[in-house]
Amino acid sequence: MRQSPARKSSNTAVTTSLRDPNGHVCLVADRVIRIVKPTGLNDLKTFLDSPACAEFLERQKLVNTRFLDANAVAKVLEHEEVRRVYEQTPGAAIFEHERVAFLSFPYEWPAEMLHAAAELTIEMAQQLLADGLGMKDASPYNVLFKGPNPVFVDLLSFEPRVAGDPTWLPFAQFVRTFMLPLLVNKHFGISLAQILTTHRDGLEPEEVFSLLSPLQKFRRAFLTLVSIPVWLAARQGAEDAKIYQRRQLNDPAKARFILKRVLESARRKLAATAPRARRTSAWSDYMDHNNYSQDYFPQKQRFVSQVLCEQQPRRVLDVGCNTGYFSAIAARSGASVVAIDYDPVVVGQVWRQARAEQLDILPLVVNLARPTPSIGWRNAECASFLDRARGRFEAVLMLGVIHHLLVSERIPLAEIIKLTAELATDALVIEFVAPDDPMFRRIARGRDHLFSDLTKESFEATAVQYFDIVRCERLDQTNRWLYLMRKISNPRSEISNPKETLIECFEMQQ
Amino acid sequence: MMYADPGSGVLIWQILLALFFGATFSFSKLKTWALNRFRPAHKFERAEEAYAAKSGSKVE
Repeated sequence: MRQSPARKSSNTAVTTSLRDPNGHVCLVADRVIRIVKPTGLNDLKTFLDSPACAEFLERQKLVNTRFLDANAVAKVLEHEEVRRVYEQTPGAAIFEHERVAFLSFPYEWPAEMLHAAAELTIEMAQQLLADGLGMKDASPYNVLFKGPNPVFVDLLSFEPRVAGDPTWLPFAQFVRTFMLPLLVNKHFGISLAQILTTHRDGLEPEEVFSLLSPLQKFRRAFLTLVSIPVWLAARQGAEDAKIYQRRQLNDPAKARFILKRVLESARRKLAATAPRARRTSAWSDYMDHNNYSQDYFPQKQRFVSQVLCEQQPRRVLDVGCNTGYFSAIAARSGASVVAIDYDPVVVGQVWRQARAEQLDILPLVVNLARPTPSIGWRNAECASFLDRARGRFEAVLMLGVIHHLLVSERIPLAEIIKLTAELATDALVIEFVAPDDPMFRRIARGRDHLFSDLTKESFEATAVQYFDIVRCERLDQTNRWLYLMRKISNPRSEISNPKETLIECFEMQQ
Repeated sequence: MMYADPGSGVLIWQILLALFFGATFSFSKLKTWALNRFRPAHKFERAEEAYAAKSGSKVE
C-alpha cells in the first residue's frame, strides 16, 4: 500500500493503508514507517533476502528498506499515532522505507508514466519467477516516481509462489488498472484522470466493450484484452466459483514455463498500449509557433537561469510547465522539480525528455485551477495535490500562466498570489501579462472590460501583500514583465505604493 | 494469499492461454523424447563415443 496520509494527529504522524491486511504505513515527521503484522512478516523477509530484491535495489527499481532494531523502534514509538497502531498489532515488526520526494497518484500521471509503471510491474513479476516468488497484486498504486523513474514501494505485495501454480492471479487487476485505461486513452482519447480518479480498480472489460463498434471488437488491440474475456465471462455462471480455485500442476517446470509465457504475452500486449510518441495538442507546439520576438525566450531563460543560480533552490515547482523548457533549466541547475500542466500530451513530452536525459523532473497532469482533490475512503486516503505541495518548494515558477487563471478560470488575482505564497517557501518567479498583450486579448475574447483594473501597478500592489519584489524586467517587445519575488514571513495589508518594496526594476529598451 | 479481484473473463482467458502453453510444453517434451528414442544411428554413435572415452582409444 502506498504512503498516503489518511488521518493527521497532533504530532503530524499520519497512518494509512487501511486496505492492506498485512500492515500499515505511517508518515512520521518525513519518515516512512511500515508496521508489518506477523501474517506478512515471513513473506517480506523472504523477499528481502532474495537475489531479485538485491537486483531491484541495485537498479533503483525498489524503494530502500531497513528493519528497525529495538532502539530505533523505541524512538519511533514516541509518536502517539504510531504507538497506537503498533499496540493494536501484537507481534508486529517495524521497517523504514526511504522517502520518495513527492507523492503522486496514477490519476495525475500522463499515459507515458502509467505505461512505465506497468512495465516495471511486469518486469518484476518476470524476474521474481526465478526466485520462486510472485506478486499478490498488480496495481499502479504500488508504484511511485522518483523524478521520471518509477520505483516499486509496496513491499508487502510479494509472496512465495506455489511451485505447481501456472497462473498469475493479479493478471486481471493488471489488465484493469494498467492496460485498459491505457488502451482507452490511446484509442478514444479519454484522459487517465477521468478514468482513474473515479475507478480506483481501473476499467472492467465490459465497460470498454460497451465503447467498441462491432468492427473494433475484432481488432487485435481489443480482441484478447476486452472482447474474448467479455464473451467468456458471459458464458460463466455468476454463482460458479470453481474457476477461482487455485490450480496445481504436478510438474513445477511446466508451471513455470506456462507462467513465463503468460507474462511474456502480457508484456507484448502492454507494448501495444504504449502512447504514441508524436501526439499533438493545442499547446504541444507552443514553444515553436508563437508571435513572440526572437529575444523573448532567451531573455526569459537568462532571467530564470540567473535566479536559479543565485537562489539555488533544492525543490522547484513549475506551474504551467508546457513542454518543460524551464523545468529542464531548473533541473540542470541541481533542483528537484515538480512540473505541472493541465495538458497530458505536453506533460508526457516532459516525462520523455526527463527520462531520456535523466533530469530530476516529476511531471504531473494537474490544473492549478482545479487541482486533484483528496479522494478515497473518507476523502482521506489520497491527499489532495495542494496538501502535498504546500510549503514544499523553495521556488515556484509561474511563467505565462496567471493570465490563463485570470481570464479562462476567472480566479481573482489576490487568490492566485495567496496560493503561490502557500506553495513557495522563498522565491517566486512570475510573469505578469498585461491585458493589452495579444495572447491576453485572444483568450479574453471580447471581455477586456472585465480586466480594466488589471495593471502592472495593481498586480504589484497585490503581490507585495505576501512578497517583496526583488527584481522586475520587461520582456522584449511585449507587455509582459518578469518578476523575482521573495516571500515575507507575515503577510501585509494592502499597500498603496508597492514601489516602497521594489528593489530593482528594469525596462528593456524597445 | 490473493489480494486482487481475479476477474472472471480475464481469468478464464488466462486459463485457456495456460492450457495452450502447457500443450506446447508437453509437445516440446514429447518431441525431444521422440527424437532421442527413434534415431538409433545417433544412439549408436553416442554409445561408441562413450566407450571410446572410457577406454582411452580414438574413434575412427
